[in-house]
Amino acid sequence: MPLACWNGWSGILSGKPGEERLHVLLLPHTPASIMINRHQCSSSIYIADTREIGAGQERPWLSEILISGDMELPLFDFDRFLHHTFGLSDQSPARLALVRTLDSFPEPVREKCREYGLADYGALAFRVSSSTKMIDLSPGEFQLPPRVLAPYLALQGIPALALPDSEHLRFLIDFDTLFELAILEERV
Amino acid sequence: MENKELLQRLEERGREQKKKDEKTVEYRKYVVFSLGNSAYALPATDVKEISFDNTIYFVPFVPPYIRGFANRHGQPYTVFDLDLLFKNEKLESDTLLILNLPGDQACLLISDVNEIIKVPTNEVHTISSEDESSRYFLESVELEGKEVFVLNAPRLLERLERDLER
Repeated sequence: MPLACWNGWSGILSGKPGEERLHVLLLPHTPASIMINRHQCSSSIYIADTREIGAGQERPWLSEILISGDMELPLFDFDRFLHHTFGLSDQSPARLALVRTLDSFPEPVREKCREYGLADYGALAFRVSSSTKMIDLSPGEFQLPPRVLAPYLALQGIPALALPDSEHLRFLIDFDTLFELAILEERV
Repeated sequence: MENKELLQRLEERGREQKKKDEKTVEYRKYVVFSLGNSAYALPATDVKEISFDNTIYFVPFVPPYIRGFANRHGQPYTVFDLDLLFKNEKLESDTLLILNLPGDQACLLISDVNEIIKVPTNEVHTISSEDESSRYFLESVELEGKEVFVLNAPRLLERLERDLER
């Protein structure tokens, strides 16, 4: 399936036809790196102060509250989740938080957030690598996974890959899908 | 005609017949490879290349016998671990047999490539068993007194498609 046929691209590209660019956050890891569409992140802040709330079997990826001025946000350990899920082996510091307003999620995800006990918060924070940076890529720099796996992985939240050279592989993740299916649904 | 002359003619006829026989025999070419202590084969036409010292990128949410993706010349290939599929044992290796399959990019994690062999068609054995494991094999050939099974690579993709639908 050519990339242009994948509906997920609509609305996430910018630029003139033929010159579209996809803005992604690149989370550099070893051996693979992770990319998140910029449109699936509202803002980011450095993590200065947190309060432990204790992770449990019901909430394996949420054990902290991020304190920023008067604001308190549930802080998911997305960095640990990525290491666990994608078999990443590096130990780079993760002092950056991606922030996502609750109303920017699709309704099914908001519903699960309410069930998860997050209804009172206006936004959620996700701990990621401090080395996270923004890059622009053209659609031609992305590839679908091999044919048999492509549609299945798209449903799981991994719609595309980028292989910038023969030494690296980057997974483009669909943040909303992974958050809904693999974080909010996961129970230990 | 003297006996000596007759003998020469018979020998010549024998040589011509042998040449004729050799021309009519068809051969099949196989790549023989090992997974731990077991040897398997693939039709040579199903093999694109052999690649050493590969990084395998773990892919989540897939069956355990899919060890991940390999990056071959900027293209992603699905890495199958046949030891995990057949014996439930993880193969420790970074050598890949890149498959030449129509419609998908896949490769096998292997211990090593043993040799490339040519086998006369009449020495290729069909597989009569219909059990679960034999569905992954096309036929078998004899190599140094041992039976080596020839893998039916497209069946691996069919198995993966089935498992993903569950």
